[in-house]
Amino acid sequence: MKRYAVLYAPNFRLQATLRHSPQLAGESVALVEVVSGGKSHIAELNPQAVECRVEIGMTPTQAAARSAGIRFLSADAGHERSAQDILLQFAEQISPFIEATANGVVTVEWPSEKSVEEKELTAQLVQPLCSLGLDIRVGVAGTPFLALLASRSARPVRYVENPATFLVPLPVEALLPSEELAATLRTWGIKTIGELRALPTRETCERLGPEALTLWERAAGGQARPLRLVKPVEFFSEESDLEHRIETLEPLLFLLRRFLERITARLEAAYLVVGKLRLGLKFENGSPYYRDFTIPQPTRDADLLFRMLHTHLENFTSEALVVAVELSAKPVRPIAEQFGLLERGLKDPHQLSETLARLGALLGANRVGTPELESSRHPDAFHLRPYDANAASLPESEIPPVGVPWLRFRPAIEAKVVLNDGEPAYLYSSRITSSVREKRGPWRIAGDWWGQLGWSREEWDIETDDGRYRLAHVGNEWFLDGIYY
Amino acid sequence: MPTSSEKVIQLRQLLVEKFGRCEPSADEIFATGVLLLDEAGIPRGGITEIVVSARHGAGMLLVCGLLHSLAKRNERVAVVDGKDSLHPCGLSQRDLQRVLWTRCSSARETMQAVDLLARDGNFPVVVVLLGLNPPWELRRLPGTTWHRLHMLAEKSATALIVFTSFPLVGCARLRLSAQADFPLGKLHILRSGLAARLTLQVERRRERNGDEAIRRAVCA
Repeated sequence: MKRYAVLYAPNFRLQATLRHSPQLAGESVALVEVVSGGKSHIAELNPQAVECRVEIGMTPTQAAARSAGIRFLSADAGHERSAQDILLQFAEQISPFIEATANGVVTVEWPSEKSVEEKELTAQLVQPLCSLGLDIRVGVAGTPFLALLASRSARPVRYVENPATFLVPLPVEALLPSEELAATLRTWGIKTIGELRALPTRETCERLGPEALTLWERAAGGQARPLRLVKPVEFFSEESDLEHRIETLEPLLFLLRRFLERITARLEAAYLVVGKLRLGLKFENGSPYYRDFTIPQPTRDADLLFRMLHTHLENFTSEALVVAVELSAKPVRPIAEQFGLLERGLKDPHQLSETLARLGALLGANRVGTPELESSRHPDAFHLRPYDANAASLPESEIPPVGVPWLRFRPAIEAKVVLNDGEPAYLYSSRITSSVREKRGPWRIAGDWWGQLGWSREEWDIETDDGRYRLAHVGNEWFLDGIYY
Repeated sequence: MPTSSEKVIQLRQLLVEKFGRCEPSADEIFATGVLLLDEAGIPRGGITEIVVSARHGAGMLLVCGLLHSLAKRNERVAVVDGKDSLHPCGLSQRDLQRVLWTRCSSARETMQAVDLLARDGNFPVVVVLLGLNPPWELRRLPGTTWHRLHMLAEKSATALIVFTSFPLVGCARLRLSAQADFPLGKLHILRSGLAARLTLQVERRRERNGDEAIRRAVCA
């Protein structure tokens, strides 16, 4: 027999927002929403606010009159999305068949071969979600509707073995009748589902119309139905629209640290690690900023990930204030790596990644990496690629290396050369002024002659009083290209 | 659940706490695979200064030999280039495959980059090219900088090989002087033939306990 579990987060919008304001724990808090006409009213309350006799539908002024210390929060779509994603990701641990029934309500089709243990549910869902700031209830029953009803009265887990016994004492309002129908039933003196089911079905439906049929079906516990399946998002993300703009590093790091802790806690529950991290910032002038971090050795160590963000942000400046922050992690399965017998692994891949980031910040990203030679005869034809500590080794070239390597002046030093029979005889430059004792050359090289970027040059090796140099003749100009060091 | 690499790191920390550091000792010699350097004995966990005074190509010949030899063994190497002057086109892609090249523009930047790499500990060898940095710039570096680098290299068991034009590193554990003797016409022959004309002289060797031996033994 199929069974369904419903994960229900009461006061979902308030909970989703409160997760991001841990300093309000223990205080009376109300979620305020703006209704048509620009007026605002209380939409959701936490238990402390209910104790102070604040009620839903009151205006903030009325609420403040009942409880002077009440704090008001406004709903945040980003926070709600994050919280809903968390619910879906945790629900997926039970079964891949999940439905996002509503905000804060997730229905799961329970695998028939899996036994349902209250302890297991508490340990697998309720406690981890509680540590992430979401207080949930779980209801398990034979139909999605019954499971939803069970979840609303669960503390924190409730099973419905016998639907009739469970439904009888519940109020009729639990069946979600329309206002008109509810009023009619009230005038009849019908308060509970048990009293409703005691009425003759056919006659009652004839009098109340087709809506009563639906109500009757619900009163019988509803029907098993196919779920509208959803796939949880691939990324684990946390985001926040900031009430107070951020202009310094410290509060931003504080926020990111909290995001990271939440993300890693979620990943831990799912037995996953962070493969990639994406930081998103939105500025006051509307411009966004995104930065992707590839994690060298996937991990969910919040300290390590935080250090990576910290190193990057230390050297980051912006012209406008930060108004929204988003951090998302692409999860991957932990990798079990086996090195070759004679291969030496990195001592600490994360430290290397950190060092590379710091070197990039110190010198500029285009000045740190591994040189990749280009297929061109142009002097200095190479580009830098990001350093890969585990780059595959290449086979040895069949041509043995020839000639003495030299160091290149970047940029090349302009020189004046006195020629004797077309050969360099004396050299003037900012680096050296000397007679040319000995020379070898010229070597004429040219390339790209078929295109607009064609080039040609003449090169000489010269010996001076100061050492040996590589001299280049390009057009009508002479340059000291390098030195034999 | 920690990942495999985290487990290895945790295990290493546990072993270090229980039995002390089990990484290569700073007393060890780093085998470079270059005959001349191995005969001189490059210390792991210390600074080796190679002074290339005459500008005939001896310095870069040693650097290229070192990179070639390390590439053969799949070793990672960092080259800190004090004046952005390395000419990679003179090397093969195979030798460059695991080279981290940091292109600095001043001695100060170079020292900062070396500091980071010496702390890192993932590179067994860090080659520092200071041959083209002006002497006045190098002389302005405080002596404590080299001492700090020495301590860092010792801690991370990194072999720091510094190429200079004049004796500069007071706390170097080994100071070598490189000479080459090949005429201009021989600059473009096979590198194996050129290496035979290279000589390295040990100028100074300082033991780890502070004893200093000044030797003048010709290695080749």
